[in-house]
Amino acid sequence: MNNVIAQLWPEIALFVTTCLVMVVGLSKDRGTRKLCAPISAIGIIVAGYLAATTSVDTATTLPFMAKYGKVLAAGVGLLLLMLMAGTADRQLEDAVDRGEKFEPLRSTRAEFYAFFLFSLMGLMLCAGASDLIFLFLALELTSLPTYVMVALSTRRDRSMEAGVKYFFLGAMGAAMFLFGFALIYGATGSTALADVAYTIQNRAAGTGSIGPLALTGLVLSLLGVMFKIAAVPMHFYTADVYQGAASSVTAFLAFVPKCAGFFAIMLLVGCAGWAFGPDGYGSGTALPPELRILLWTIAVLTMTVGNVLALLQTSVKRILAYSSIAHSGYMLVGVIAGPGPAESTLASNGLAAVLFYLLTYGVMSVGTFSVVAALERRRRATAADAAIDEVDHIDELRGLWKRQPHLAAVMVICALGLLGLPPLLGFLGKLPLFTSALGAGEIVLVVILGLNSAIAAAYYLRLVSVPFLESGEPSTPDAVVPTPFPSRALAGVVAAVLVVVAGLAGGTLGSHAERAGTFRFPTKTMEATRHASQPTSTVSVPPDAAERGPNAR
Amino acid sequence: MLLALVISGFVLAPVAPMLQRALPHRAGYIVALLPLAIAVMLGLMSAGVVNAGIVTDTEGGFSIVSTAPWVAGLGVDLAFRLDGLGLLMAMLVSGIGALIFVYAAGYLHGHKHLGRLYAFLLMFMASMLGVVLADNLILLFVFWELTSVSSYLLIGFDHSQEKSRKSALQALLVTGLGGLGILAAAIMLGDVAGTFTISELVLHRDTIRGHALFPAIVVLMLFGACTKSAQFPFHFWLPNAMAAPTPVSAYLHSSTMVKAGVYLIARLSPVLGGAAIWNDALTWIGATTMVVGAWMAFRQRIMKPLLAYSTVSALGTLVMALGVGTTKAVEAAMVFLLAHAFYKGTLFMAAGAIDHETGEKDVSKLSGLRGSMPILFIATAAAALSMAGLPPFVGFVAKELMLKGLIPDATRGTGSAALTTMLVLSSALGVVVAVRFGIRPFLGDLKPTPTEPHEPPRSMLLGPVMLASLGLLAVVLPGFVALPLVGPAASAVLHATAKPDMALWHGVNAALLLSVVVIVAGAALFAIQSGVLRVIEPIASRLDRLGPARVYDGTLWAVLTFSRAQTRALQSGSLRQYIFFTIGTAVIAIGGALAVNQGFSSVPGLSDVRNYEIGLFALLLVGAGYVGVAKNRLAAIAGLGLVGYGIALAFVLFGAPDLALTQLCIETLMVVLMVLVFYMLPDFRSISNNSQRFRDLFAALSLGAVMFFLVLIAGQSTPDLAVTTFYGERSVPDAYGRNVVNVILVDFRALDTLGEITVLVVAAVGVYALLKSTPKRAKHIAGLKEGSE
Amino acid sequence: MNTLFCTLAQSGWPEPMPTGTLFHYLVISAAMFVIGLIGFVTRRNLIIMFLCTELMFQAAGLSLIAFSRFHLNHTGETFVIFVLTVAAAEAALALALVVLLFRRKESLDAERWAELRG
Repeated sequence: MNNVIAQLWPEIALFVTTCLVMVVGLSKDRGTRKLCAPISAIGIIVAGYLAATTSVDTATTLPFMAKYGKVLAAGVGLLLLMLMAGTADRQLEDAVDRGEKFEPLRSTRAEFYAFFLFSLMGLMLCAGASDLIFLFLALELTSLPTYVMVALSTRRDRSMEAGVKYFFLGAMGAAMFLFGFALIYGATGSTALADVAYTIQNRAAGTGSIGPLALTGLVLSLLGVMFKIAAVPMHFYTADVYQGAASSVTAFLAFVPKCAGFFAIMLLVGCAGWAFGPDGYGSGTALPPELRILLWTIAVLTMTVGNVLALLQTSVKRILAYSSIAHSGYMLVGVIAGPGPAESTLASNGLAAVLFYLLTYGVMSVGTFSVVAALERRRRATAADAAIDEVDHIDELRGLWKRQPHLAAVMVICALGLLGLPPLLGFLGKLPLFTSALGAGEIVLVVILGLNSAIAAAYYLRLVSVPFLESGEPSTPDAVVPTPFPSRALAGVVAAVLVVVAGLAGGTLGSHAERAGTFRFPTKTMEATRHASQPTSTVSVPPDAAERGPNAR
Repeated sequence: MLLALVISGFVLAPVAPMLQRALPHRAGYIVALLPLAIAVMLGLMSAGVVNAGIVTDTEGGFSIVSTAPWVAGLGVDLAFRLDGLGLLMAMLVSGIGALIFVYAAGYLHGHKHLGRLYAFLLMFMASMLGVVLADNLILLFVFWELTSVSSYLLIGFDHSQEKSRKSALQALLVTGLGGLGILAAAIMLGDVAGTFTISELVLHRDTIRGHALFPAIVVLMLFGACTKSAQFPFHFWLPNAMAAPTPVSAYLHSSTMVKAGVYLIARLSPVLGGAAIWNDALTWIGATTMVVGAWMAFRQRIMKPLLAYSTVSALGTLVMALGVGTTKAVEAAMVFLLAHAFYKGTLFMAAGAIDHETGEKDVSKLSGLRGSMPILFIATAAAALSMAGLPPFVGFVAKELMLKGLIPDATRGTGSAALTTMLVLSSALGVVVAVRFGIRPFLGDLKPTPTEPHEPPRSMLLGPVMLASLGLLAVVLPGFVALPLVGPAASAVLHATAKPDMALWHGVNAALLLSVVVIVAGAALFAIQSGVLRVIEPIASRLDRLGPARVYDGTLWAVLTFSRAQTRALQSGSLRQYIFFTIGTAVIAIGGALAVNQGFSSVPGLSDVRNYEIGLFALLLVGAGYVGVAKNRLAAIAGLGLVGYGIALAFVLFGAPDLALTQLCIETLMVVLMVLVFYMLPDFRSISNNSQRFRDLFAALSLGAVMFFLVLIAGQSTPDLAVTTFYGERSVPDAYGRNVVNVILVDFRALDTLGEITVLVVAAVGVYALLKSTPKRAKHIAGLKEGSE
Repeated sequence: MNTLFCTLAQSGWPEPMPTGTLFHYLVISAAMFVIGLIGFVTRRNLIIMFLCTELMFQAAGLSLIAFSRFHLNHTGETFVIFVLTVAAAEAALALALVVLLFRRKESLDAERWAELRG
């Protein structure tokens, strides 16, 4: 137990921060309330530091993922926090600036930052989950706050609509993976992921198949979790929700739930293991055929649907939404490839490739969204009125190079990075996906991945050329101006610098992902050993009937 | 050192626009100093004057290596290697680059984005140097893609024009896709050989040849090289890329970038060459391209497309020669590479100069320019004669060598006769093109042109004059210009010492005779060209419509139409439709997985159901069904309540009375809460019409039936019984509690419980935040209360 | 009452549960899940849609408890506790959203919310 607590220090730090934020954010004084953001930043930094310094070995098939995942969550979380500046209470603050009275009761600043931290905490818990119950709670903790954040992010009907769509599809996804978890528990008799993995793979070694019950459970839970990563067939909400939410919240949605989803997927798929070959379990390094076909189809559909839908969009946020779908498809390729042979490197370990890609995608998507978030449309006709709207149409970025060169540069660098242009970070992220998939013999998948990368060029280049090459003013009647929150642009600049520098610096970041992706085959855990030491057929004595009453304690 | 040479261009690129702003008249010359310095540096390094790294003497001549680590985990490092082939290409890139910067300064004088053009050109030059000097396959791919992107920026330089944008995108998509082919082939090669280092691949030559992936590697590699070097059927992007400003065309699309594919083929010849699939494919692709390119060039009258197609033809010749792969053919290819760079660079720059000074792009409307631009005339005519293959220009030597490499003899197969014929045919067409473009416009009477023709400025003359005279010097002083470049290059490709014979006169032999035939046939064809064109043009233009460009357009159209259809069909914005598609796909997925896992088998009977269980099941199903069909909100809640209480009963049955109590509490609270909330909301209205209902019913039934059946199958399998007594045994001694579930919750799973509480907190705060965020609309709520009574 | 609970609660404990019985519970739970799904697909009223997700959660709870009894361990029961709470939390959020929505558009028709599309 102490061991488990020792692993949870980052989450505990975030929890304490959340409590502080709630207290500070409910203050009557407007100035005090503004402390929410700095306090959150300190909390995230502390959590990141704690995560980086504690050594972790979770009792799962991916023992070292937790540490990497938590540091990643803290790192990108910090960028997201910078982007989040000014999102909460925007209208309220503007009203106060115009001289209206500050109404503390109408402010949602405290809640907003608390949700942010809660969700980040959920993500960290996902990374370290070693039990299905734990995983279920962590996933819910990640997503519940995001529903509210979407609905609250702006005061327009679109945000509300986005919130509703997100919530209902999310609830359906949750019900699906919950039912799946129930079936997995039923098939294995345990919720501890290590035990689940051991039981499933033990059965596979004996009978050659993981069994229909465990399979249905895994399929259902994977489908449910697909909602979090916006993969087909759970991707429908993505564009609508991304467009409806405030840009900063959208950046959050594009990273945090996706990351949590991938952690969950890797843990779940890890239960079935990558040990199948032509002669059944133990003869290769592939997934069980059923799961492989399923994930293969989902991966292909996801990247193709995402890229094809992105082609015709004119809304920057929708382009990025569909591209985020496509990137989920790319990463699923790494999941299919699996950890590869023993002692594999980043080049041959698909899981490490996914973990590394999450980092690169996180940084680059924060960068692209920051450009949209750092700009806003102000209606020219009524300058006095606070008629502010989000920048969304790609035409509104026209000529950005002349007006805000730093933002245009961020867009160019990050979009080229997402495209996978060497030698930027995105290329380094994509390369291990290619190599690991080829190493696993998935040549067709690699070809489709390559074709999709080519399709993606068409729309990423629009994101590059409109702000950079096309001159002239946007054709909207409104003025496109920077937001009064410099930290948003700063987040973008930091991301862009990271994309370039980390790309040129190459290997250092990859080596962490390499270790984090280490896959350990399940062995009998303590519970299982105890169980084995007893005569198995006889059922041990349950507690006395009288003791099982509700008041027994 | 090599690394520094490569990245210097990238470093200078961002500075170039500033330089242009500071010194609007001098910037081009200053920027040109960089490529010049690089060329000098390379020359000194290869001559051994500057000690620049490890020099090894291998079979293929010298090589200078420099390595720095990059991504160790992936086996990718910044390995550069300068050998004969690299030197030839790098010299072309940097030397012609220097001339191009000077030329651009004159051609685009006063253009507002001239600084940007310099920056892009520098980026391109650096990437191209990277391509030809990289000794790591992945690194090569990195620079390869960078050349594609910088060429995209350069072709689309005139961004206000729709045509420029389209051509730029087309070039990028075609070459970028090819680049991905190279990446895939590179990864496979690395997988097979265990290394990405190009110079080490030769050692694993036999392993690679014998591997099952070898055909895939060859096909993908050739795909990449052929797209870049505009080989048939991917040649269509090159003429379209002529939308670029002329300095760009002269640099990228004649002498450097399009040769990257040829370079790659030459570079990998020692590794992949010798296998039938590699050599045959290259030979015939090259020969087809050569003829198709020459034919298309023959039909053009506009200067730049004419030159573009003749470039396509030349590239085909190079690929064909590398495909033949004999010592003579490779030597010929290297000489031809150099010769082509000299004459085609000149011609492109001349085309730009003529267009610039006369405003006319159609060669048939130009005549008598010799008087107004004499220097340009001499340079252009020299280049055209070189292209036509007349002595004493280097083009003649190259063509002689090429013919010698192909002419059938005892050692060559029947194919070589066909190849020779194709070469003669395309060369004859080339003569027509060369004369039509390079000589005819300068002779005859002066025709009026949009602007008054006059000699171009010195900056624009420097390039053509320099290159044209190099074309002559290469033959006159072979030991000074050509041999130090061509010899080591051929050696590097062949992995054996090669020394091309660049003498003009070898006595009367078959090659000379064929050269004469080419020139005579070309002259004859030139005389009757207008008649020929009039006859064939109607047929040919109809054939054009079936060309590969159509396939590209068609693919693009299909993708966009697919995208449009998909957007309309799937992303309708309707939540219910999203759900419908989601569940439909999910059902198919589960069904598929189970079908793969095992077939359908029988379902156990209902024999051993206990009576009270039947009651419970009925209760649950009735309740659930009622929720699904309820017309009235309260009825729906009651239905859900029924289910909840039923579940509580099930908990009791399974020995979990504490759970049952929790469930009862929650259910009761839930029903109360909902009734309270619903009190504020309106009644149901019938919002579906009958057809919608029918559709929904159908969808629901089919979904339900499939799903239910699948769960049945899953359910009939027996789970492995895994009895665990851990908690039961440990609960009293460890946690001093007798209610096992309670103990589990607060002791063994305390952290989960903490997480659960956090979820509750989130929900509570969420509800609070949501409710207080709504705008005050008191009248609505008031009106609602009245209405709902 | 307590006696009744205890009698029922012990039905068969600690005897292993027959596979057939487990199967029946699974069938019912699957049926509930599917009814929930059908309702979710076909109904347009957000409230009913939400109730249907609750139904799916309940179905998961039922199968968890049946498995728990089958395996003779308490993990499943524990899981159910968590499921109940999380379901309640989701319910609360859903209700808040629904109320909010209604205040905006005065309709709970899911189809009225299709401004975002493409």
